[in-house]
Amino acid sequence: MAMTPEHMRIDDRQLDDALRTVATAPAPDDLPAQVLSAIAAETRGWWVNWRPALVAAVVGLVALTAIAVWRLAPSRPGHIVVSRMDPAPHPTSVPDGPARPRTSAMGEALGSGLTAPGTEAADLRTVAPRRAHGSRLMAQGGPPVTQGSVPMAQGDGDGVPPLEPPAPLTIAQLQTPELSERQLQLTALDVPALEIETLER
Amino acid sequence: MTDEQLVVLARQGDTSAFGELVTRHHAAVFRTALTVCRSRDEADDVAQEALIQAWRKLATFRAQAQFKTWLLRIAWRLAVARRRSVWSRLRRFVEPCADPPPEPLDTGASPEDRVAGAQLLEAVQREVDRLPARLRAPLLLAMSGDCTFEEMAAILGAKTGTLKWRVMDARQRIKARLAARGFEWQ
Repeated sequence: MAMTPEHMRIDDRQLDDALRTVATAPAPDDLPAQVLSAIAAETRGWWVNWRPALVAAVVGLVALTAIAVWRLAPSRPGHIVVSRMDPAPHPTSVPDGPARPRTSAMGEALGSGLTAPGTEAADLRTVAPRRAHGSRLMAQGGPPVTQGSVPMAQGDGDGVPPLEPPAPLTIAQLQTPELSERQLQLTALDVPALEIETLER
Repeated sequence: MTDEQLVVLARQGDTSAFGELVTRHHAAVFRTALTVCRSRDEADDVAQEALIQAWRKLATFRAQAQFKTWLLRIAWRLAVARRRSVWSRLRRFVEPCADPPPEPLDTGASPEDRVAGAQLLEAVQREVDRLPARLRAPLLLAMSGDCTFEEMAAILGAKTGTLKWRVMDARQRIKARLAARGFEWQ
């Protein structure tokens, strides 16, 4: 027969036992393991969870750097290297020594007198060919073309008319003390000084 | 090794030392959360959160109180915040008491006494749940034996005398309600 509360006689000790049972509810067995697992995950470091994103960011940064370097590279076709160094003696003024073959576009530019060949390979910058400059030269009839001269950077100038190298300087011209280096360049290019400054800039 | 020594090691990054602290005090943390939440699932979540937060804030522990008191205070605050949350209120509204009554202690009594003990236990559980929180938490913390009245005062932010009076008041209310349900007091 089931006992009803009406028949139950209890005392304070039984009440305390019941209250103690209610108050000391057992904790879940896996509570410490879950806590320690979470703490171990935190101890490993935040970068563990973000490692794929970090790798992707580094790869992207390297790729962007490579693209930037490629776009700013001085050896890009269609660009002319201009040196700010003091000009060295023109190759034609060198009395002795075999003539070195010019194989690159940069060598063509140096030999044409457009660029002053420096004694050091420092302070180089690239100047993109300007359509306005080329068209102005075309309107003026272009620089004097000498026999045997070869147009520079044929076929890879994106429609820009090739610059014609000026007439080579003679040794006598180079040895004239009144001529400054600036005058030498002007004479060699046979273009206004404004164009030279535009190129240098 | 004392709690203070383990705390020093844990501050230096020794997770095994903190693991020992967790093993020692996780039951008290769970029960402290259970006095507020009255749901084992919620109390489990709160206890985990409290222990993890204690690990994170271990550098701020200044040893002015015992580590266990500091830990239980974190659990208490988190449990109160959880109980006040909207989700907890909604859950209590949907399922007021989802947890089964606790198992009676096996005292080697006769089957009739076990049945009577189970009935008493269920009735006491129900009356404890009906108590207001300001009476229920001190009563359960005091009966669990996890902390003294001084530690309870530090955890709950009340005076020791006030807590003793609340425990006594809670017992009187339970006895009165049990008597109203038909239990006779010897």
